[in-house]
Amino acid sequence: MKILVAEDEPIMLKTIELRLKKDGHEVIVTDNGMDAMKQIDAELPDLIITDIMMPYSSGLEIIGKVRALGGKKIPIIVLSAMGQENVVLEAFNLGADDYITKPFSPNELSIRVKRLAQTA
Amino acid sequence: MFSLAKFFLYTVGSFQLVELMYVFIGIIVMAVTFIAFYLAYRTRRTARKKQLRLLYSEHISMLAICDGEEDLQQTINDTLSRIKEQGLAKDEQARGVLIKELVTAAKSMSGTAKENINIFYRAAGLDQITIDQLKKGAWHIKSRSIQTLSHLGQKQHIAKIYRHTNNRNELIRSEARVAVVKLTGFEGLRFLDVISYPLTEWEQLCLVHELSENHLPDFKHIPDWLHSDNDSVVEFALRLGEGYRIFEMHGYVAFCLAHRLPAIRKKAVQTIRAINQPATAALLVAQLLREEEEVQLVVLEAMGEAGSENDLAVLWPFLAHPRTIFKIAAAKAIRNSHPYGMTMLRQRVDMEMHPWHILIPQLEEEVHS
Repeated sequence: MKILVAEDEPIMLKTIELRLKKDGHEVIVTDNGMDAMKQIDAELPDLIITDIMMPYSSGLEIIGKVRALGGKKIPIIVLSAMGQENVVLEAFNLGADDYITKPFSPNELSIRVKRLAQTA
Repeated sequence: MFSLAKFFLYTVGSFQLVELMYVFIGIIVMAVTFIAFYLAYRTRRTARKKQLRLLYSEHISMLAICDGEEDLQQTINDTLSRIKEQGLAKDEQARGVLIKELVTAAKSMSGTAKENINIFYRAAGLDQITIDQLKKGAWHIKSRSIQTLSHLGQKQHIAKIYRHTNNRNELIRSEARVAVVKLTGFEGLRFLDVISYPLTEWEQLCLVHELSENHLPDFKHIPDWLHSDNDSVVEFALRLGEGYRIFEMHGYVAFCLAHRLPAIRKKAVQTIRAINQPATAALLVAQLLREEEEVQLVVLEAMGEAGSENDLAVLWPFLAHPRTIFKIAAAKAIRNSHPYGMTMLRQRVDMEMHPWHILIPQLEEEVHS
């Protein structure tokens, strides 16, 4: 499965990348929203994991743009910080499929990816 | 400008003026050189820091995704030997960046990943460096060390943190208090038995937040804290009683209604309202009659929830109170205390008068919604 991960915190980005690679996925990483949009167009990932707060373009903008593209529905998992419940609701309204709150366990993310992969 | 030069010519002479100019030019050149060197040094340091962050993020991520003890031990050994090979083990800046990155990772991760990071921190001997900073550092280094130890779950150093819970420096003691609770939950609150410095409102909120993070409640010391000589400890104990709805505390809270400080009495009223029992209504009536205005309002609001039919006699006079906020609180209490409270209220007040012509329809609306 080809997964795009957009997260601006280097440690989290690397951890998610390694965890997903360990699970056998192909992982594309980016640390900002603008680059994430370019990668989506170029790589056509099967799943997107995006942080909400990111430089240049937020996770919400990414969801909005991906859903506006139409075509094949790419599952999206949102990474949010604690206390961002309103933003998570906004993300769901825009078309996100799942969310995970920081701090989180990489293993939990791995399970959620598996579950979304099965239902997609 | 011209007259200034003239002044110098007359006072220091033309020769000295040239010399003075050389001195000024020399100072400016020295300052510019210093700034340039300093900026170059800062840029180099920042670039190295960035490089180190990237390097460590790789190492930390490898540790975070380890499954099982054997895998973790192997990764720890590999990471430590790579750090040694790169000559970073004794580099102070590198160690500082590593500790910072470990804290960042520990804050963003949970479960096994976080536990792995904590184990690595200890295995690398970084906890001892933090402990040294806690012993010898300035106040801001001490508070940062306490934060580091608590974020990285270093329970074995709890005694060293605990002794700072009554530190004379506000920031150090604040960090220490939050840290012991973060590490050990309700057990960590034993510092409340001994502290002489007050718990600030912010600390209380932080402690309540930390306690809510999966710590098993233990309320056995709360009655002692309600009798503390430290008023802020009494206030915090009441806050816990209110937050956790500790009904067994009712008698002890009632005792606090006679506290000398209005702020504590207010908190006691709010707590007793939260742990409402049959005896509460009578206690509130007695409190209302003997209180000063500041607390009376809180009592009236409490009576809106925990009042009884027998309270009406003491509530009627408040409908004529000069302050509207008291009128509202009393009207709400009357409406809620008696099944016919709303009808009686309508009969008692002049519906044409302010604020009743607005207030009564609002109170009725609240009942219907």
